[in-house]
Amino acid sequence: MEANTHTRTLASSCLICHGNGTVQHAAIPGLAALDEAYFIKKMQIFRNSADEHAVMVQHAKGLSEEEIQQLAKYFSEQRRACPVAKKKSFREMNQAE
Amino acid sequence: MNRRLFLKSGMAGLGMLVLPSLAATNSNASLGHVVIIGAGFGGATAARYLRMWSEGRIKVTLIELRPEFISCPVSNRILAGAADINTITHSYKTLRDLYGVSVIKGQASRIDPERKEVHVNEERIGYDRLIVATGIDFDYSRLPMLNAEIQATHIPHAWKAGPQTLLLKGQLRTLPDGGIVGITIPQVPYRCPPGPYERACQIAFYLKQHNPRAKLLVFDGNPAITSKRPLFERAWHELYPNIVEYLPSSGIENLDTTSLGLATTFGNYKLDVLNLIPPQTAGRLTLETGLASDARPWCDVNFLNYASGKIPGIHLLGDAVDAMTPKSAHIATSQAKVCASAIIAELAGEAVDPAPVFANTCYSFVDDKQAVHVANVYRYDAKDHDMRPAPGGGISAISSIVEGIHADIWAANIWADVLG
Ligand code: HEC
Repeated sequence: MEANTHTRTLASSCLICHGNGTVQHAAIPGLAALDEAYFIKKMQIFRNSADEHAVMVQHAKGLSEEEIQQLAKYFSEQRRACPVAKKKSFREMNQAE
Repeated sequence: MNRRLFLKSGMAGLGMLVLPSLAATNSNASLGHVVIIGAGFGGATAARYLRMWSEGRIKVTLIELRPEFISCPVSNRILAGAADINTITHSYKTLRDLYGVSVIKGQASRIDPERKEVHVNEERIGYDRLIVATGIDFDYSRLPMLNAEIQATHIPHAWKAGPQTLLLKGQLRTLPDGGIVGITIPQVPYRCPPGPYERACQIAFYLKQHNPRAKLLVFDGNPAITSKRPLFERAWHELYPNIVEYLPSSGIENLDTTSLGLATTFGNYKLDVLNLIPPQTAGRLTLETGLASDARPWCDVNFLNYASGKIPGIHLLGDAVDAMTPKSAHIATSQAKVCASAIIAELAGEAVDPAPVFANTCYSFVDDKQAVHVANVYRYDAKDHDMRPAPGGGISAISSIVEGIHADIWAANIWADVLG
């Protein structure tokens, strides 16, 4: 079982905007498999931004440094899902293996 | 079936595509049976995440009367003609077929906490843990002239998306030229704080295109707009200056349900269409079971696992919870994830997260394309035993098309997160 349920729950609340990686929207990019250092850097930029009305700035400012590091690690370890496969065909792929 | 592949993706994944081995309960390591009443944002999320995060070791039964999931978020846009009922209607099929949730269509009529049983469809279903996620009910105690039947046929609340959303839409389409529409807003707390103001924008948008001499009167039981205030004020002022009239601190004194004559704290009005959103309580079943707080019609919980403060073995999610957090869909899903995680840990004899944190965002459309948001991270406060907003949260600077695009992505992603 997942060791850090704190990070897992927090990360899952980000998916409401970012999605689970099956569909990619350029306007709110997926987080799965994002490079750890890049993730931290982006979050630092959001945290230090003066644009206090931007949605991601508001979220980043509410997190602790430690949470950002754990989220970065967590998302970097996720696999990015196959973007084209529909649910059904992906299931068939699994079963065929 | 490939167990190894499932484990790999299931462990890493939050919202994995397909978990074939979840379709059947993995009985050799069963942690127990969780019954969930209500398959809205809170209940359905709990079902999916219990199955996913327990890797199939928890059996989940989900009881819901409606054959399909109908989303309140986005439903206001139906009034403007920017969305239709199919957009917000979604199937429970994936939860059932891919996640192995047993979905029972029916109305839970009684909870027996002594025997740990739920009565549904003349049957009794035993549980190890029960999650009650039955949302809201309406309180007509101070509106004796009104009842559910009148609302379903004549004076819609449209505060549970579905037939009444379409009723209200139809009424707007047959409004006489230059007619008067009224919305009444109850005092806080109610489901979806910005919802009534977004609805005013959507109705005004429709009127502006199709009945520009019509008026929309917004009778607010609160002294001021309760959410995203400057953004709605600006939208009404800039987009709908001759249509929307906002009347704060307007309590309902009397209503003639036939003529739609409405008497408020400040005056008498004759309306052509009335969207009356009544005061609300936690769902009737929670009140009847004795799950409500002592002085309020909402349910107090432990925010570490959403266990009832009143009856052991029962957890509560969503709008029924007596909390500082807004009664939003995103909050309901986050509560469900904290609850699912805690139930799994408790049944497996593991530690529960002592300080949960989650993000919340709610978008509102001010016309057919532009949206605004309110966003906050919420953090468990060990001193107050409550979820409190973390610093940094806030609202949009202005409405924008970019945020309208974000709002559409939010909707697609939350539906996928809840229903798989
Ligand atoms: C309300 C929707 C919303 C929520 C909730 C949200 N985000 Fe974002 N996120 C966005 C948007 C919009 C962008 C793009 C913003 C930009 O580029 O300025 C973004 C961008 C990002 C990026 C940069 C991605 C890249 O590829 O450059 C990261 C990292 C990120 N978010 C992390 C998070 C985390 C972690 C959470 C949960 C704590 C979260 N987000 C919750 C909307 C959201």
